[in-house]
Amino acid sequence: MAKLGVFYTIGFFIVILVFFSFVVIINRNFISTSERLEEDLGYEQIRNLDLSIQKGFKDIFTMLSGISVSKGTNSVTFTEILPNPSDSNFKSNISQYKTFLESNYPVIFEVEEINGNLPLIIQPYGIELGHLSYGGAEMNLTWKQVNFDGFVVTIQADVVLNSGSCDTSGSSSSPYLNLNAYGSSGSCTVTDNSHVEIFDTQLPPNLQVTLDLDEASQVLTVVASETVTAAVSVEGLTDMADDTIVTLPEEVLSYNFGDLNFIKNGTIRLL
Amino acid sequence: MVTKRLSLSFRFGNKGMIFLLDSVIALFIVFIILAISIFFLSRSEQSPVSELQASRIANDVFAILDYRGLLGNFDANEITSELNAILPVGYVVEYKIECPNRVYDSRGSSTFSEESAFSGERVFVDTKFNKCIARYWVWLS
Repeated sequence: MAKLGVFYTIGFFIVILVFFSFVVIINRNFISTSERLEEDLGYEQIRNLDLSIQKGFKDIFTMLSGISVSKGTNSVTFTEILPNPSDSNFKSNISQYKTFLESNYPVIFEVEEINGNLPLIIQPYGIELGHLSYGGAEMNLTWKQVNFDGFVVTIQADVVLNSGSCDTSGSSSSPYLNLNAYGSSGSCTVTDNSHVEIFDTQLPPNLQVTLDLDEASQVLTVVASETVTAAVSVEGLTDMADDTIVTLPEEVLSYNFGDLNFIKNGTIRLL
Repeated sequence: MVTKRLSLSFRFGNKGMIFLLDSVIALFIVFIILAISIFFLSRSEQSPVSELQASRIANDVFAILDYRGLLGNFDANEITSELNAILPVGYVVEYKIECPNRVYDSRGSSTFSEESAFSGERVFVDTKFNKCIARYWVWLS
């Protein structure tokens, strides 16, 4: 009888112990989950801030830069007035944006390159639109490998053109270069058959537009001496699903949230 | 009666008292363990998942307002109307817009516990290129 009581006690003790162990496991799991979720919450806040900062920049860029970026079925097109008259307003707003961000958040916004040559990169192709000096008369596209077909450049100028206005010299095997030039009246076109290296519109002496495709240096340069609207389209981009994007250079934004032990370098997506 | 109790006492001694003490101690231990268990389990029920969900809802709602141009082209009535249309049922939101030239606070004189609300903020640029901050608080009603 007495031994039976001991067994009851031990049995009951074991049941309680098992129950308590479950409670401890549940509690530990809860604490661990809470910590992960707290981190998630912090990262969610940072992500939200990052996206809103990118959206703010994109709004300034779209409205003030004088450059438009668009995506076609297999192409990305940059359109800009050369020389760009919008540069000073854009640069001033970007500098204000930098001051605003850095005074309110633990972020560093690198604007030197943006205000310098304003590079825009087509990812994942690595094709970069840049300028000799943003606001100036020259824009250029550089690439590291020919993972696209070629360029189509469309020039709109307030001059009279005729079918012989587009002069060419040299040749390029790949990528190709096409030109469509439209004047206030008349136009000229050069198609890709000859893979032309240089187009030089035979315009009045005060208005020359030169396209120089340098295969060796892997650069296409567009220079206008007077105001023209130039649209450079990069053709034959085959991965045109959502993967193809246009961004600023890497690491223009650097976040340092010390309390979350979180450091992040990022870029700004424009398209 | 007295005779019977005496005879029981002779037979079993003071084991009743020992049994009573043993039971009390056992019950005491059980209650402590139960109390600790209930405390832990009740804490586990306060799930932070709902906080994360509120955070995502709030961020998404204000991103929609931004992308639709309602933050940049500020009109409190339009924002209220849009919030009523897109905010999930059961959630309440208050917000504050801070631009260099103006501040709007939807909270007015109303009060709520900021501890029970999720708060977030986003940067935006208004139509005059002022750099602004929208702060918001969301909670379940």
